[in-house]
This record gives sequence, structure tokens and C-alpha cells, in this order.
Amino acid sequence: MNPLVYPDNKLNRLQSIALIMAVVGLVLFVIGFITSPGSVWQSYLYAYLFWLGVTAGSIGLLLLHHMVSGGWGFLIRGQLEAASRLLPWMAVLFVPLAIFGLFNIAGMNALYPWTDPEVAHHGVVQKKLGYLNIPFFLIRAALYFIIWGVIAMLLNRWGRTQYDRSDPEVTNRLNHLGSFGMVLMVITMTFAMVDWVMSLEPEWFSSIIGLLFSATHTLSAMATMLALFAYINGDLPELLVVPRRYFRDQGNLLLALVMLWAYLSFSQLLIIYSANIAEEALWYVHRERGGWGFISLSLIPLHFALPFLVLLVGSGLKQNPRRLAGVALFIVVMRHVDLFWWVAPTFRHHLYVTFADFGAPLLIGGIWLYLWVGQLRGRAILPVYDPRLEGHLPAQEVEVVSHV
Amino acid sequence: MVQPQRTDETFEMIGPGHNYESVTEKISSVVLSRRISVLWLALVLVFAHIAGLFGLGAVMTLFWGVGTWGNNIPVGWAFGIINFVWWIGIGHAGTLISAILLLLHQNWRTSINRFAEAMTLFAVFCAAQYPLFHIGRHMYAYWMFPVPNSMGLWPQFKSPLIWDVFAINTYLLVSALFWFVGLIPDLATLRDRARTKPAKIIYGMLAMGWRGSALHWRRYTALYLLLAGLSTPLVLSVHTIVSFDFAFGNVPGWHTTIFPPYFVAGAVFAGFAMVLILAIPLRAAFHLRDVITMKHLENCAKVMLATGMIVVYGYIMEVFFGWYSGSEYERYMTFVTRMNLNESPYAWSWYALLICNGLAIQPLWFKKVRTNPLALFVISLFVSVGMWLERFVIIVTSLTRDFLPAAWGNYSPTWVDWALYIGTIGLFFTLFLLFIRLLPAISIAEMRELVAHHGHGTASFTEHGTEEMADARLVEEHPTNKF
Repeated sequence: MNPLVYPDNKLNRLQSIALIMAVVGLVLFVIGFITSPGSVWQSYLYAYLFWLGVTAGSIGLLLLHHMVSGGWGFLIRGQLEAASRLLPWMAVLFVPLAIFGLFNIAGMNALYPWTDPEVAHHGVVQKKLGYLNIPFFLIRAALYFIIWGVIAMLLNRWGRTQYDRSDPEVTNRLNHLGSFGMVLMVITMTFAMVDWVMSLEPEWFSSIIGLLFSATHTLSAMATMLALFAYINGDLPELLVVPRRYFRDQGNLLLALVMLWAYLSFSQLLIIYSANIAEEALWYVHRERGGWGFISLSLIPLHFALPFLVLLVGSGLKQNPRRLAGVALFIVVMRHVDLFWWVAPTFRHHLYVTFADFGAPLLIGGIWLYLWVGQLRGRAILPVYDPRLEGHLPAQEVEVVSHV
Repeated sequence: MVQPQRTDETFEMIGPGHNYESVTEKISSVVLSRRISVLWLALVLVFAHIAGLFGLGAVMTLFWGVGTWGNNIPVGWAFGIINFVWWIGIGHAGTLISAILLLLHQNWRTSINRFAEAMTLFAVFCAAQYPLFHIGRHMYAYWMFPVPNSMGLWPQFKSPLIWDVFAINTYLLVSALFWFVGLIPDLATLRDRARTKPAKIIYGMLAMGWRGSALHWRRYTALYLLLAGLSTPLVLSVHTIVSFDFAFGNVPGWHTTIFPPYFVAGAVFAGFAMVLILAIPLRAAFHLRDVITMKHLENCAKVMLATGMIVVYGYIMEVFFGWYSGSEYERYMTFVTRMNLNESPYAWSWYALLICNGLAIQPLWFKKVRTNPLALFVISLFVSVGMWLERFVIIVTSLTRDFLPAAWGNYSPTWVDWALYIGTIGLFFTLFLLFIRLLPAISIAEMRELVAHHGHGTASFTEHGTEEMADARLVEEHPTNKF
């Protein structure tokens, strides 16, 4: 018996919002396509990276939760599992990226410059063609989605039992999946980000990229899930059966991830700045000139300092899901700015935005959210048979009595 | 006096049947016992003699100069920095255990934090010897600090080496404070239980008038938490800056952006290996198996595995990006200098490194291994060697084969290098052995708290108030605490 399910009225409203997002996004994307066809796939890429980040980051958070069983995970676990089930859809949404990223179609240049023979057989790029070539790129992409998909499938298949019945064997299995899965996840995410982000500037390299994106995708997922948690469950008093610190732990993990982003990003900047080698420093030069310097500098106070300070001193805020959701939403916006900053300056030597830059995240986000809500319907919120979950849970009491 | 008894292994955080009195007795008796065990004395003498090697090396260095070391051009940095980074890294586990695990509410840190912190201090002390002796002109050592002087001479603030000076001094200071503050209630316990006058006076002065009142506890907890908060960024900053020492240098194999997190993980990895190397004999020798339990060993093993896997990930990234950079220097460094056994005189060290740090830790995936003290001890020795080799690989392979073949060279350490290195190992263990006899190696106050939380506390204390007050009462009941 597990009575506490995601409330239908909230889910219906969220699904309507998702539909509106998708429609508005589509309109903006089409306008962007007409007005500046050359740049729509740049917009698509950064928006895709955000929502892929939320999906893969959810898998990462689930793995971490099963590994270390932090209090932050119990309340959002159902949401994370729903997000992880969207992985096949993310693979579908990758198809246009693969087509327009790799091939020149209808007069639009491919997104990845190494597909252009002019670039590929020049300078340092020609030494990397053993890795940067279309067939291998596609094989790798397929491999990433298969590995992530298998992990997501196992997380859901085994995780599901903890909503229905007590099974110590499953808990143990999930714990092992947490550690093995994490190793696979970080390795595959590293190469995925080399392929999809780093190879946009094929001369450039930075070995921290795997850890940086593993951390920031997790941040995207955590922030998105906390914002959605407050919307769906913000006024459910039944949830207060769990210890108060679970709410605080959610805010603390968000804080830790914000700090990790800052630490890894700043390390990359300082090391590349100090050596000042042409192949590396050029990447930052693109993000300094033509108005981009303003965005680069604004990331420091807005992506780091402000959320950091608010989350550090706001202990009352962390106890209150709705106020925490405000910070989380702000971080979601900054995640978009950060990803836009990773992608766009490569192509745009002067800062400008197009309709598609706003349309793409709304479009992909709308589709994602619509599907995600579908995954939540009728599902229980709390994994009450997870032995690590504390609190006054009716199902567990029944269990204890039956054992006696 | 309760005689130490043989105790069985347990997976709880503390063995069964303990109450406030028994943990106090068990831990303080190690210090207050008048008996000096032969084994302890023998070990101190052996390690003190090994530490003497350091003295010999230091005299050689002071008398004849740094020329007695194997350093040369192009390897201007060798054993000195290898050992420095190795020791600093080992220190990190102590701070991680005491500060970060405290903030993360990980109660299992309780019985290992005290000696892990002591380990940090001794490790940083050993590390500090190398830069001190390497500067050559010791009378100018203060030039490393920004002392306004008549020559208008300032340190090079743009250099990570100067950041190191600040980072490590801050680290040493905060770690020492943290360690000492944690000791205060225990020093008061020792003062109260000491049977000789000199011991009473010395522990009494160190206890700084601790009476265990509620107000004392309140201030103590606030201060302890504050110091934990201050120490946490230091765990990251110190080794991040050590990694900058290399990553800022534009040398193949050094300049790579993964270095900061990779160095920090490596430091914690080496540190936990050293914690296990110290804890496993300690619990056996002093019959502390019910205080430093299997749970502690297993958790340390898990942290070691997790950080070890990050280090392995770092190796994969170094190899991949060595290739992906497309730079001929990076590729030569990765695939010839480090990997090619026929072409490079140092390739053996890279493979040895993979065996020690990559292969040797894989058995830790199995619970059977994680709960076998002997296996853990052996693996930890492998890791300690491996982390030393890692610094050897980074420093020696990169410097011997940089950009110009005309500038290539080779490196081999001299006996003075070895004496200084092995000497600090002796120094470290001598200090540690003295520490376990002079101060409680496990926090008595925190163990009492653990007893209270685990319900073993005697009812007469807990029924009068909160557990913390009960804890305070225990100290207060002593006649000297009535004021």
C-alpha cells in the first residue's frame, strides 16, 4: 500500500504549461529559422545540452543517491527516475543534431567544423582525424546512449520495487549499480562532451571537460528537479513525515554543486590563462571579444557568487521548498547562459541573440516536460520500502508489525 | 584499572557494552599507563634512528650545499618536490576526515579523526623540510614572506610557488588549531585522571581551565564547527595550488587542466592509505578493535576506492588528451617518454604506477577484501608507493624530455636524496609513536557522545538532561571540577 502519489491537478497544469512552452518555442524557432537560418542549430545544440544534462544528470544523481544515500535524494527520487526514463527521447532529439551537425544541408554549414575537408586537413586538426570522423562520431554517440539507457533501465527496474515491497537484495544491488554505474557514466559523459562540445573548436582541448560537464549536468538536473518539486509537491503536508533535514540536504547539495562548477571552471581558466598557448587561449579570446566578455564576467557573480551566498547563509531558505525553488530557477536560467556561452561564441564573433536562441530551449524543454509529466502520472512519491528512508511512514509500520 | 582485553571484530561504530566510564578508561589508559611496552620502545628507537638519516642528509646539505642532491639541469626539481607533494598529500586525509566528514554528519569519523589530524600535522611538518633545505641560502628563508624590507624586495606574487607558501602555512595553522581545540576536553580528562604531579600540571596547563560546563561546551561546539568550515576549503586549496606548481609550467605532461581535481583526489587517496597503515597496527597493538571497528576500516577503504578511481580517470584523461591535443610534444611525452620501455629510461615507473594505483585497488570492490585488515594494509602500502611514483613520473619524465632534444638529460637521486626521504619517514613515525603515548589517539569526548547516541550510556546520566549535558556532567563530577 502506497497512497501518496503525484497530484493529478498539478500534473495537468504542468502539462498545459509544457504544451504552451513547446508551441511558443516552435514558433520562435521557425522565426529564427527564417531570419537567420545559419545559426538555428547552434541554438538547438545549447538547448539540447541543457535538457540532455537534466536527463543524464538525473541518472547521475540517482547513482550517487544509491551509492551514498544522502537525505537529498528521497523526496525527488521519483522525479529523477521519471527523467531518466526520457533517455530514449533524448536519443531521438539527438538525430537532428547529428544530421545538421555533421552534414551541409540546404546551404547550411555543418555545425562541427572538422567535417569540412578544408579545416580537417589543416594544421593540428589533421592529427586528430582518427577520432574526429563522422562514422566514429556516430558509433560513439550510439554507444553513449546504449550505456546510459542500460543504466537508466536498471535503475528503474530495480528502483521500482522499493515503492512496492521490501527487498534487501534489491537495495544491495542498487548500491552496487551506484558505484559501477558512476564510473561508466563519468567516462562516457567525458567523451560525449569532447565530441559534442569540445570538437566545435577542434584545435582546442581541456582535459577537465569531463569532470566539469559531469558536475554541471548534475547541477542542471538538481536545480530543475527542485524547481519542479516545489511546484508539484510544495503544498503537500503529507510529505512532512520525512525528517526536516531532507529538505535542508537538498539545498546543501545544490550549494555544493554550484561550488564545484565554480572550482572546476576557474581552474580551467587559470591554467589556460597562465600558459597562454595559442591553441588553448584562443578559446577564451573568443569569449572575451565582441561583447562576450560581458557575459563571461557576469557568470562569476550570477552563476557563482549570488547563488553561493544565498544558499550559504539562507538556512531558513533551504527548509522551505518554494523559496529554494526560486534559487533553483535562477540557477536553471544561469545554466542556459553558461551553455550558450560554451557554444555560441565559437560561431558568433560578436554577441547577438536570435529568436531561435529563445525558441530552442522552450521547444525542447516543452517537449521534455510534457513527456516527463506523463512519466509521473499515478506514481508514488516516496520509495517507502527503501530501508534507508527515515520518518513516520505508514507502509513501513505495517512492515514492522508483520515481521513481529 | 581496566586491563585491555582481546576484543572481537564488530561492524558497528563501537563495540557492544561500552559506557562513558569504559571508553574513558580504555582510551586514557593508553596514555596514563606507567608501563612502557617493549614493542613501543623498540619501534621508537628504530624509527628515531631512521629519522637520524634525515639529520645526516640535512647536515650534508647545509655543509656542502644542494649540490649533494641529484638535481641537475634539466631536472632542477626532483626528490625535494616529489617528497614534498607526497607528504602534503598524505596530510589531506586528516583534514578531510575531521572537517568535511563533520560537516557531512558522518559519525564514523569520531574514532579516527584525532590521530588522522595528528598525521596531517606530522606530514605537513615533514613536507615543509624539503623547500626549507632546497632554498640553499637558509638565512634568506624569510624572503618567501612579503616582509617589507629596505631592499624593496617582494616575492613574485604571480607564482604558484609563493601561493604554496601561503596555502601551506594557513593549512598548518588551521589544522593545528583544529587539532588542539578538539583536544581540550580530553586534556582536561587526562588532567583529572593523571596520577603524578608533573602530568597533572602539564595536562592542566594545556587544558586551559576546561571545566566542562554547559557554557564551555556551547562555545566549544561553535568554535569546532567554525574551524571545520575554515578547514574545508583548505583541503581543496592546498593541493589545487600544488597542482598549479606544475600546470602553470608550460612543460609537456604538466600543463593540463585536469590537474587540480586530479591532485586533490590523489591527495585524499594517499592520505586514506596512510590512515589505514596507521590504524590497522594501532588497533591491534592497543586492543582498540571495538573502537576503531571494521566499519571504520571498510569506510576508509571505500573512500580509498572512490578517490583511487578518480585518479585512474586522471590517468585515462592524461593519455587521451596527450593524444587529442595533437601537439607533438604532448604525444611524445605520453607515448614515448612515459610508455615506451625501449626508448625511455623511466617508462618502468609509469607501469609500476598503474599497477600500484590502478590494479592494486581493484580488489576493494569486494566486501571480503574491505573487511580484511591484512589485505587493506597491503593495498595501502601499494597505494603509498604508487602515489610517490605518480609524483616521480610527473616530475622526472617531464623534465628529462622537454621541447628541445639538445636540452634532454637524465636524473638519478644521490644517497643524500634517499637519506632525506627515508629520514622523514622515520621522523613521521617517531612523532606518531610519541603522540599515541602522550595524547589520547582517539577523542574521548566524542566517543562518549557516540556512546550516548548509541544508547549504551548509563541511565543515571541521561535521565537528568540532554545527552550533551550528561557528557558534561561526567567531567564535572570530578572533585577538581567543582569550581
